Amino acid sequence: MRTWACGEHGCAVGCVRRPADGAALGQEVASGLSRTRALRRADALAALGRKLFFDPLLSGSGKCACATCHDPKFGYGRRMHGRSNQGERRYAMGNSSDAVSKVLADYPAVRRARLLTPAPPATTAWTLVLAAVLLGTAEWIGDAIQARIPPAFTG
Amino acid sequence: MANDSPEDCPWQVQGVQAIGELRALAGNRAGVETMFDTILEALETWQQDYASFTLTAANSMRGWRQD
Repeated sequence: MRTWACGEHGCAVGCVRRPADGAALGQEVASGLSRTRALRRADALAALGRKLFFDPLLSGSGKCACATCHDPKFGYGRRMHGRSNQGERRYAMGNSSDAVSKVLADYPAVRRARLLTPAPPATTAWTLVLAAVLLGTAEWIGDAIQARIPPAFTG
Repeated sequence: MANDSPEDCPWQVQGVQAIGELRALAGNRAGVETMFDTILEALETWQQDYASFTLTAANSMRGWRQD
């Protein structure tokens, strides 16, 4: 599902609600995109998304960016002004933003893409070396303990 | 404030600074549908990028104070 207008206040593109598309990057990796290319594309998309989020020209009027209502300074919620009893100006978090709840609720697609891709050969080789060292050390400790046990106990 | 339809959005985006990056990701011959999907994909990817999205808010809120 995709939306182009925020249900709350009609943003430029809208709060993106695509629950099933979280695995899009992972699917791309599974379909043959190399790990390097997938990560490069994810980084480029994230950089573009950041620019678009703060760009008012994306809206119909050209004056209202996503960040106008979903202000990062207020946890991507709406800025609310008010005054306390003493007349002090106070700011508070606005409505819980779709953006932040999405980050908290969903497993990041970028991280998922990294998990779906196989580890690079260098990492695998180092893991094998480390495992061999650990196994060798354990065997050496076992031999040392065995040597100290009196024959009566070992039979 | 909002665009009337998804078809309007890619036309609006022609004026933004990141149009070059958008074309690079969507493809130079991308139609309106592909452009719109790429815009959504970009926004979604950024929202799911902890290092950029969450820390942007954290850094912005660092100066938050009640005055």
